[in-house]
Amino acid sequence: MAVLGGVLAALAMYVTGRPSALPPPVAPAFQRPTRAHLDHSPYFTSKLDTPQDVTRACLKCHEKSAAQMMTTPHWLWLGDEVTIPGHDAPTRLGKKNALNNFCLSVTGNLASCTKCHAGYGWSDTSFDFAAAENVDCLVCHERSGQYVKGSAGLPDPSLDLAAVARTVGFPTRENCGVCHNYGGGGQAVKHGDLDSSLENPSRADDVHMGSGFLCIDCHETREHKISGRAFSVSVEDSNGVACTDCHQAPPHHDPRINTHLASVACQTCHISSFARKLPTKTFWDWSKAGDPTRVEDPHEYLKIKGEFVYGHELIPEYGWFNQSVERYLVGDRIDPTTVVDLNHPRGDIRDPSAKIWPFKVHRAIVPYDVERAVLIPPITSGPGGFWHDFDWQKALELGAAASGLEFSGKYGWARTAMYWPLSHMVEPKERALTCDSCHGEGSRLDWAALGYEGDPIQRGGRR
Amino acid sequence: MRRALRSFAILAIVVGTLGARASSAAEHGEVAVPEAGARMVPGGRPNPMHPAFAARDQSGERVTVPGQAMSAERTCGACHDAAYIASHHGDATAHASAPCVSCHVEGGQLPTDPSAWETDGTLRREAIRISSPRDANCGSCHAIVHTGSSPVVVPREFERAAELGHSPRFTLETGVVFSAQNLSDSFLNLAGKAARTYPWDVHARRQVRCVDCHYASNSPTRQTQRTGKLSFLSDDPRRIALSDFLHRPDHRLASAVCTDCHDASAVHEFLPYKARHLAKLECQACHVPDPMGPAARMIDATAVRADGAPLIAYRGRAEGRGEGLNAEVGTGYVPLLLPVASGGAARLGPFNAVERFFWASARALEPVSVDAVRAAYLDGPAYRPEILQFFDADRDGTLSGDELRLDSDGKRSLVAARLRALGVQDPEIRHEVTLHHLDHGVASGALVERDCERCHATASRLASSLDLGEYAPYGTPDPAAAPILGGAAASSATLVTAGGRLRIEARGVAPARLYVFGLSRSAWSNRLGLGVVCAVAAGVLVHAVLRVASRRRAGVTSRPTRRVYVYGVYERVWHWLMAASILALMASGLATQFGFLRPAGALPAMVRIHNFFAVVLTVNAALSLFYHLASGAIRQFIPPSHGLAHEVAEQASYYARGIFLGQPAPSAKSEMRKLNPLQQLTYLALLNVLFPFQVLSGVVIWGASRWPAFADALGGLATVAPLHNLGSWLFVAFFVLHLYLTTTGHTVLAHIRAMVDGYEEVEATDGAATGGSHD
Repeated sequence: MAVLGGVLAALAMYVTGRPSALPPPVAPAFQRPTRAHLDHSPYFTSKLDTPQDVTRACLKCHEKSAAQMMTTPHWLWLGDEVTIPGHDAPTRLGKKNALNNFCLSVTGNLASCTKCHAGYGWSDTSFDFAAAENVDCLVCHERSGQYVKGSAGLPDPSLDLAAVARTVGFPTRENCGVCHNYGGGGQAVKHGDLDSSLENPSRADDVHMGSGFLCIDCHETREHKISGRAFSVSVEDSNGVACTDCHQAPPHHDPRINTHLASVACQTCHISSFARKLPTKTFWDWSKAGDPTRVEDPHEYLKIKGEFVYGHELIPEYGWFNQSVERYLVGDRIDPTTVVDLNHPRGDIRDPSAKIWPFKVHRAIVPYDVERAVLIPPITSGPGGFWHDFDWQKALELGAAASGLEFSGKYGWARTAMYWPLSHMVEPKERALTCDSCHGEGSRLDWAALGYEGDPIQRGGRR
Repeated sequence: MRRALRSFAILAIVVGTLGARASSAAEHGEVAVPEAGARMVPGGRPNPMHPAFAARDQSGERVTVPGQAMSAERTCGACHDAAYIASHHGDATAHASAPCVSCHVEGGQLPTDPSAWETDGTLRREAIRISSPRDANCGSCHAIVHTGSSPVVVPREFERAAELGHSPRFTLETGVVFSAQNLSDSFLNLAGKAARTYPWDVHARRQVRCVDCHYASNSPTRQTQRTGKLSFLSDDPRRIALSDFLHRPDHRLASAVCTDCHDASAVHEFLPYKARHLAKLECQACHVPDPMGPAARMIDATAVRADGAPLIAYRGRAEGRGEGLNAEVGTGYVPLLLPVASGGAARLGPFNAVERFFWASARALEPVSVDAVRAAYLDGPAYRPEILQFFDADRDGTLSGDELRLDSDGKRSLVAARLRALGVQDPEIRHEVTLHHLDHGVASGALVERDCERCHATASRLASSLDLGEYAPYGTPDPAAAPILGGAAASSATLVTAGGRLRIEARGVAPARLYVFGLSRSAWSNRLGLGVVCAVAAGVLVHAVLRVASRRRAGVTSRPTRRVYVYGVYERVWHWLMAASILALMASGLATQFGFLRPAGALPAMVRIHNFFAVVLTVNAALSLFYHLASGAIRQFIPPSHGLAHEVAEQASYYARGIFLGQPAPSAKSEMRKLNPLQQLTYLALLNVLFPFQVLSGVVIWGASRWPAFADALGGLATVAPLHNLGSWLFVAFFVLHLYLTTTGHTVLAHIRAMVDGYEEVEATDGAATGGSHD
């Protein structure tokens, strides 16, 4: 019996053969999240008059939530203290004080910008950041689809807040998208890789979200601290999200592809184009604003904002990026003869931590003080704002005062660029870039501009 | 400054915008955008190394008027040795008509724009786009070589180019396309297109260009192939100077083979009997699995369409004609696998077969030129009136493919008369089938066929066939008698006519001296072996019937018996392990060779089971031999030195007569004597002849992958495998007989029971036990 058993055991091992040596494509680190959701409708039976009443009701059970939330950039619009390249003193940078080349600055325009603040009533500098009842739980957690925020982040007064509150649960793609898909005053103005097509996407739109992923599956959240970085308001990548959080090395079966990983970001090959369904804004010329004679079209010209260019199915621009950026801060001097980069990616071919990344680059022509060579964020909304009086002089004077800048009174137009590294709209692997996308004739990369001697398939990679 | 430079670097990457909208910045003129032409693409910019030169005409005079007839030989020949190049062309007929510029100038011709030329006839430096040939240059003659991002398309002139020359128009002749693009991104209509997210050719995808394999054979920049004259040299480090090369480049282009770059033995870990497969199969056999491009199966150049192209029928297309090559659904086809002679040993490689009909002069070997055939039919863009008059059966003023077929004596004679009028002497229609080897359209490993049973089965790829044409022009003698052209492969294929269609069939692997398990059948060994098995089975059956009948008639009464301990524990374990191994070997052998009771996809498992039990059997036999030698039990197997003949006669007589009469066995089984003399003789033969032979032939077959020389010395698998096969049948025959004889004991199951518990019921005869058993 023992002899026969041994023979059969040996046979089974021999016939089934040795196990495959292929690496697992996805690390065991990734686990499909189990999301508990309690039906909250029994908790909101009586009428809720103010949004703060809703928050107070939430806090009865979720006692720590407001306190947690109030330490995060979603509430403060400021990040942790960091040292910004080219600047001596450490600074806290965030939406609150960072210049951009879209609507230019939050400062002085709070009420209209804070429509996207996860709080209630931030209309001026007197806002109390310690008032827990002003935290907006609903914008992230409601699922009625009816909740709309207006000026200073206050909800539409006609809403039945109790009805909205009954729908709460963990945040869905729509919750995040309501702000992040519409940043800059409209659909896909800022991000080229985030728009409403990702609310209900196909796998071709985004292989993760199209397979049922929610934002919070990758942007893991602990105690209301959401992981992830936007380099429009951040300068470094601590608490960032990376493909390798789930996808273990080596991710490809082909060793030729894996050798690229030292110099090429995953996103470069796996996001071959962006704004695939909805067009995104690539150029904004504020200097053309204010012309009452021009025909208005939200994708081409608005009197209050100027001239735009939108792009669709765009091929990214590529550059070195070590997941940190330089940053233009309010008051920095510019060289008006060149393009002013507000957040230029750091890293180059000699930086081993830098990889070639895909970017959406948004270029804009914005006002600056000709004598002091400083960008001046104008006041746009409200009395004296440009959208009100269409008077740049006045709007810039008020804006300079609000931002604590001196204004010589003479303004001109500066060329600026902002860089948006792409991480969403990841395509199914069949659509990833292939060798010939970058190598050989018809390459989408400019090897010389990236610092190579020539096409590395012939001249070798960086050393 | 650094910052400014860097911002320019990023801004400069305004790459490949999808549509004009993306180049927004350029439109607005506000942001720096790189100038066009700043890309580092080889050949995509002027060649700064090539000296300025003047265009010259046939007489060597400078051409000063752009577009005026220019002689490539005179122009290029001013520096390059045109005569040397012309006499060192690998395929003079194919390339003779291609002047230097067709291959070496971007776009295949020098610029005709007057602004590209100086007034003295010198080409301006920035207009010199001369380089080693780019893929697009090669593609202009060699069919579908596609570069760039526009979808792969079958070009308009694809069929017209199908002249009956000898240049390898590899797409038409084989269906392969050389392009980096995924099939799913092409313009062609393909079956299952969306899922075909792999490139037309993996080398194209990986930026291996035509000239990387097909380079001038004396190019000092290339590793010269080993000449083989000195076995201890793998390379000759001496190179000719670049200047010598540029003066006299040898245009007998190299054709690198897979192994020049690839070491197949370093991969293919999944492949059982790897060395054997790599020795007997070309890489292309597996790596060019199913060409999806338009591959011809018949080119009828006896007639021409209005556009001047011959009548072409394609393979690997879904039904539905006349939709055009881009719109018709391509399904691909499975190429024939035929032996290719290479270095003495034939290896199997993939082929397409094309049936061809063409006009030739009975007095010349060469076909009538395509231009002459066109002139016979066409007058400019229209058919000649007499042709139209005679061919247009439905009177619609145009000639369809069916109408153009030379299916009547009248049509044939009319065209022949036209050709005679054009100076062709004794025009006749010739018929041949050409085999075309597939070298491009290479697939990477992930896409390659890995199902063993695609080849190792009765319905094997190695025994497949391909359809050829469905008609032959009037007066074609037996189509199946057409010559097959294609070197060594041609002799391994044969033409058959079935249902009015001509087919080409692989004649199996026997011509290549291959023995493919699951496919190859050795008629003589199977017939002989099965004959022996059937004879034994029939004999046993007759014997059994007679035994039953006689026993009933004689009313045999049982005699008293006694229990004797005959078989020790080790003997019984040894016996049953042997029995199990032999049964497993027979079953797995039958499953491997004939697919008998084999689940789909189980071939590798069956081979492993067979090998495993072969080892078990051999080890068991060796241990048993040791046991029998050490214990002296070996004497059981040795026939007595005296009186053997008498004992054999006695035992034979018992089986032939006594057993039916109920007589006692001449020799009763005992511990001392377990085998009767007939058994002793049988086992002597079995264990000393058949068993070692089977083991050794099995080892040779198994080892044919690792030590091919050993198997080859014995005549190769084609000799050894049928012998092993015959041995197997003999074992089956022994098994049948052995099984029957176990029933001849005291009771039907007595012997079997004895082998289980060790005790045999032996007839209680007086005197010393001297007999043996019967099994």
